[in-house]
Amino acid sequence: MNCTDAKALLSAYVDGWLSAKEAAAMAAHLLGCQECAAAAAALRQTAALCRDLPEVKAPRGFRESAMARVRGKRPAVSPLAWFAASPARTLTAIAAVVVLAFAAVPAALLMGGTMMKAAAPPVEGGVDAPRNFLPSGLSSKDSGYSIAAPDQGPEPGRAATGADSYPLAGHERKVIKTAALQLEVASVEDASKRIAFLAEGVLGYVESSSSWAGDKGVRNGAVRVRVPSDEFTSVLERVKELGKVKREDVQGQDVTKQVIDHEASLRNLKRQEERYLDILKQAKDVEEVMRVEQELARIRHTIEVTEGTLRYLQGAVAYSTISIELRQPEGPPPLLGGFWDKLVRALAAGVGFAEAIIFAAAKALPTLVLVVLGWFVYRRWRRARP
Amino acid sequence: MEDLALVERCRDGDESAFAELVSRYEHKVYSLAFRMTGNHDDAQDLAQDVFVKVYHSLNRFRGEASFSTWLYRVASNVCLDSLRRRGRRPAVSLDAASGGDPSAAGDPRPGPQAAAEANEVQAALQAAIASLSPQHRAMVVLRDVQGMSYEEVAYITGCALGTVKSRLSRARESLRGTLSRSELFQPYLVQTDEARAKKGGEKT
Repeated sequence: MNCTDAKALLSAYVDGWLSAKEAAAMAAHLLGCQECAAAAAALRQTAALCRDLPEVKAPRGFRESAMARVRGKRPAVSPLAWFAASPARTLTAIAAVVVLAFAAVPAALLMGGTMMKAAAPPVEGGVDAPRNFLPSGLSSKDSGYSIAAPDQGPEPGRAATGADSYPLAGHERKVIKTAALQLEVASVEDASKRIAFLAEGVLGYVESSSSWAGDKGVRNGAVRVRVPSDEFTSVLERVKELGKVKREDVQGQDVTKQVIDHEASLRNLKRQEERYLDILKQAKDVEEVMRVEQELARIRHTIEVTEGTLRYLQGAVAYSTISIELRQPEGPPPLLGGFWDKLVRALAAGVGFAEAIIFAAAKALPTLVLVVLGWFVYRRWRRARP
Repeated sequence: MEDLALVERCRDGDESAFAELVSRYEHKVYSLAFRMTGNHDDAQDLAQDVFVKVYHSLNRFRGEASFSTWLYRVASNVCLDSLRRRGRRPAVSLDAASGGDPSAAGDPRPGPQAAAEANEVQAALQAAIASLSPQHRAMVVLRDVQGMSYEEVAYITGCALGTVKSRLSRARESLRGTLSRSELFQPYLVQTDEARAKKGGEKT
């Protein structure tokens, strides 16, 4: 893949919408091409910014005037009429806004809200937005953040109060997103390969992958992938398309407060460290130097621990975890797979067949012995006859 | 009740069913119109046009897509038509939008300073989107702002899936170009090419 091809597909790649093959080619190209890798990161950020734009609510009275126009069956305005009516329309619009404002302000004050409320920014903004409609008349109190799939109900660890959910900017919500899926797939091996491709296609990675034979020869597998949290929903949706979803569990843990707390205590600790360094410079005797250095060592240890925790949290926020449990449907496994798979299965069947013959022979043995004995006796009897 | 059942009732002449549909989608359609035009006056006009048009062409809805997707298709066409018409005369409202009345784009919610900053950023982002060509604008608004899938975007804009992919790439690129020229977005775009190059340089 060259840069021109890559540029054309970069957006689709960033969204996880390339085929596994294209995504693999792209991943390979990005490893070698700094420029395209930077462009991918830039696209991802731009898309993320747009996703954070809130829904703009229709002003009050919108529905009524729309319905009035529908009822009036006023024909769609032609461009010419639009021009001709322009000054009048402007005046009408101003009048309407004034009237609306007069009507709406007391109402808004009464309700303690504002006239035109922006809805919660859909943080994930994935492919399932059409399922995501907020019911109209939602009060600003309810406009918290929706980070899990919309049908997941309330998320744990999410404060749903209005005061706690002002959006964006300085305090971007830090949410650790995790999903656990149980999928029934035709082939565990095939599915885990596809999952790995999907994850790597969005610059994620496979954290662990295993497979084993369960009861009745049913293959089982487990794959855990980490994907950039922007891509969480799109990857999840595409993973779900790989088989029949038996169980789905999506969780979001809001760690904004923890991150802020740790950042604050880190700043504090660093200030303390500086103060001790100053003291150290002014220390008069060895004993004092020792005491201060002991204190410094303790503070530096705490700084390291705090930094480690922050790094962990940031990593967990930046990369969401998707754990997928895979199983093949029960019953005879379909004859898929490569030549070796087939050969091994054929051999197993052959061994079974040989076994069956031996057992059948064993069953028949007593009868055979009787028959042979009988035959000898008969021959003797014939010979003994004159 | 399902959208489709409501559509059926509308076809039978039940106006209240259509009112229900309007109330379900008014915010989505309004939001789309606002993001496409960049100002509230046009958004209100166009969003109402959308519902009038939908009401009169319900018979043409054959259920080839979900009602909501079909509705967005009508909405997107209405907005694009209007933008095209406006393209032939001075784009007054576009300039007004980028001139930046911050309260126009976001919700002046009483609250911490962060919210005010967010509004400023959102208004500037909206202005940047409004500076794109109508077709690019549609891509960014449908896919990134409204969060639709590629298939939905393809259906709504009547483009092939491949066209959506490449057009969205170009749209995001040019949006990115506009944003990186604005100081307001520097904190959000830390990992620009230069910053990356610098980081790389420090490491080696």
